[in-house]
Amino acid sequence: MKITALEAFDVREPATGRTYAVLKATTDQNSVGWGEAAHISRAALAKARAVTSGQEPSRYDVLTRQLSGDPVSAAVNMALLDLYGQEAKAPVFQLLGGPTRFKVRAMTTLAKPADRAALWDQGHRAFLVPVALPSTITARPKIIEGIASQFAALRSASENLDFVADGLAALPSAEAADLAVALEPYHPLWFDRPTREPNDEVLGRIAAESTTPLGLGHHLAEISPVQNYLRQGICDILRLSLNHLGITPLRRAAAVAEPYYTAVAPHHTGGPIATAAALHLAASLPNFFVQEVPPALDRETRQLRDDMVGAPIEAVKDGYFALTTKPGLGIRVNESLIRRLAQ
Amino acid sequence: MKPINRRDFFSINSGLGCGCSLMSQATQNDANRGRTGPLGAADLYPLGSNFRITNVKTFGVTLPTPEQADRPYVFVKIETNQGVYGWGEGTLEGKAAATIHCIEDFKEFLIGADPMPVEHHWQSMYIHSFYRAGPVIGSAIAAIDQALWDIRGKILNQPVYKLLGGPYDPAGVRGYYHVRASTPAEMREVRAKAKQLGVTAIKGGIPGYYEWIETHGSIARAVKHVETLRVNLGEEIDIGIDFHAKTSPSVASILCREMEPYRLLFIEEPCPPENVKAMQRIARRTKVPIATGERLVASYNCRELVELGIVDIIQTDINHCGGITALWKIGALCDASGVKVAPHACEGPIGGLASVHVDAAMPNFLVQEICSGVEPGVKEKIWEEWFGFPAMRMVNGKYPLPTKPGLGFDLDEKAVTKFKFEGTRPMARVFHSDGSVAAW
Repeated sequence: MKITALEAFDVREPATGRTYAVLKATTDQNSVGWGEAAHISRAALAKARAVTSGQEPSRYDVLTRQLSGDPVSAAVNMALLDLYGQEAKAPVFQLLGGPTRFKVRAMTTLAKPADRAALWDQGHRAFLVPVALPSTITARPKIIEGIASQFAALRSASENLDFVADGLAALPSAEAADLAVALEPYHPLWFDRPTREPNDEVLGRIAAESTTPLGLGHHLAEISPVQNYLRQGICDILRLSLNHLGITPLRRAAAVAEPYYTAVAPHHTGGPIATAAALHLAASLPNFFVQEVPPALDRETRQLRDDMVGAPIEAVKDGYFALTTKPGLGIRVNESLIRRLAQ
Repeated sequence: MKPINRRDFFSINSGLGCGCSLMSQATQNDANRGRTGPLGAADLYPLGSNFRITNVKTFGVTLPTPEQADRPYVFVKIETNQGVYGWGEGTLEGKAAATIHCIEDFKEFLIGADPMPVEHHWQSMYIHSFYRAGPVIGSAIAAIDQALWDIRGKILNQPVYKLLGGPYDPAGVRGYYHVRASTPAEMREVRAKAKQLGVTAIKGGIPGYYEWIETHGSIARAVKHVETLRVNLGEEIDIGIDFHAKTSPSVASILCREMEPYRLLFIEEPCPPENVKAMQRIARRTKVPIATGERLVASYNCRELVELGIVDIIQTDINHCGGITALWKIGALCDASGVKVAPHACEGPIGGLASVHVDAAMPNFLVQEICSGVEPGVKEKIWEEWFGFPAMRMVNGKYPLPTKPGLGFDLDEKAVTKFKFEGTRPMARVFHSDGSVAAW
């Protein structure tokens, strides 16, 4: 089986305005594999074509590496594994070392407190909650108290509800450190991107002052810096982005994290093809914790995402996704719908 | 047990009948859930295959060759309910019986389980062993892990290096042989033979045993030996020198510095593995690339060497570090820091053949060892009889990649049991001239 063509689609979800790129890979045996990336530039697509043309999907690690550093590598990696799984008649997680679990913990973004009941009814039990400093001038103790009180309310809502505080890589370091300490009594799963990441020393101070676990790595375009985060003990959970990196690089990063007793919770704000890829990755990793999925509050978006991949793979039951045993990524992509969304 | 051939695989596949996924059919196997199998296995049945592990057979194999007397091989054959089986190796020099017993202990983890979730089985054997893994547990896990990859490759009808995303080099995997020559004339013979075979790297050692601090005579002799090797093997070949952890950091630092002019590929195990800072002290004093790792188990044991940038090359052995699963992860750990991997292999042929699969799928692979000379000896001839091809012999300086599924060979149990297990043999025991204990 050899790759003969790659085609990319810039998809826009009508109701949410969410955008991402979908990649279609075709082989000389007319099989089709699908992948997804945050975006695919024309130049990146040209390079991906040059790298994959005439190549066997089973060389997925070799080919992905040749595109490392550009998001197109993520889409290519997923599409190659989708094709290779179809060739081997096995789900992707079986190519990678088999299942380590039979269901996958889910998490979604809770943008407004009012959305909680609807998301809870969808089966979600873990929430990523953005935190922001007030736009008006406020006394410093009030800032931290104000944010912490949101989480106190969430904690008191249910013992079975879990949350991540998402700093959106925007808080000043002092406020981030104070908030990390203020959150301790409420047992957040972790504090996501508490501040900008370029300065490891600043992150190190936050990690030193608080026992709240820290999640880092969303922005990384390749995995090597993960080694520094882990060596310095500033990272409790790796949040590498699935649609920047793909399945295999995340798997490699997880292997780096394992001897640090550190887990992976892939960052994912894209479409349902990447969700499928994420579930296979999660199934295969020993040090996986939770898979983020973007919220789909309106019925139209939920239906759209199911239709795109031909199955309700993002359905959550009591906080967990189910796993599929169909070959490849286990999805049936609706190409005409993808084409329509790309117009 | 009938031997497996390709037709059997297709009949197994077609026997699933749905014309779709080998795996999805297994979801109908829910009847098995919670009924049989080891603890934890039933939860994964719905995601897995219809295959079940039925037996874990261990083999101690003593070859009638003088150079192998210290390392009877430890092999494992894992059998399934559908005729597919897998081979693995956990040869641990000087501790053969202990490793065989340790593999036997893991039977309870495996019999009745689906062979496909190899990562899950690896985690269970490692973590549920409570003490984590030293060399005995690591070698037992290694043997089982290789056999499970052999089985899952056969079930999926794929060679293992493809499942791992390779090969990086379709022409094969670069290797090196050992030079056992002591005279310049013998070394020149090795050079000629290596050139004829296309071999691009050779490894040698340093003579004698070393005390904590060494005399001028001992140091000069070691350096002279390496100089003689370089002069007689020539400039067109890479040379690795194995200190075999028989030198202290103090002595190794001097030797490494004085061997710099010979532009070595690496110096291996300049001191024992327990003290990473001691290794660091040597590495900081020399520009020669430092290699180590044959005695290390799992990525856990390699972490500090890699994160502190102490070594340039990690040499974990697939038969001790925990098999294919562990060696691939060690490769990933090293790759993120730009460290190369040159797996050790000085045991039987199964581990060597398994290692080649991982090598082919590592972007940071350097070179694969096998403890053989440029001319095949008695053991290499036995290996060829076992496998029907010259196992672990290079072609144009590389180990060819197999095309068959799994580990890519078939091995008849009878060929192996022809050689009886004559018990554990201790590693060499050597002493200094004053009677004190020496390392070799």
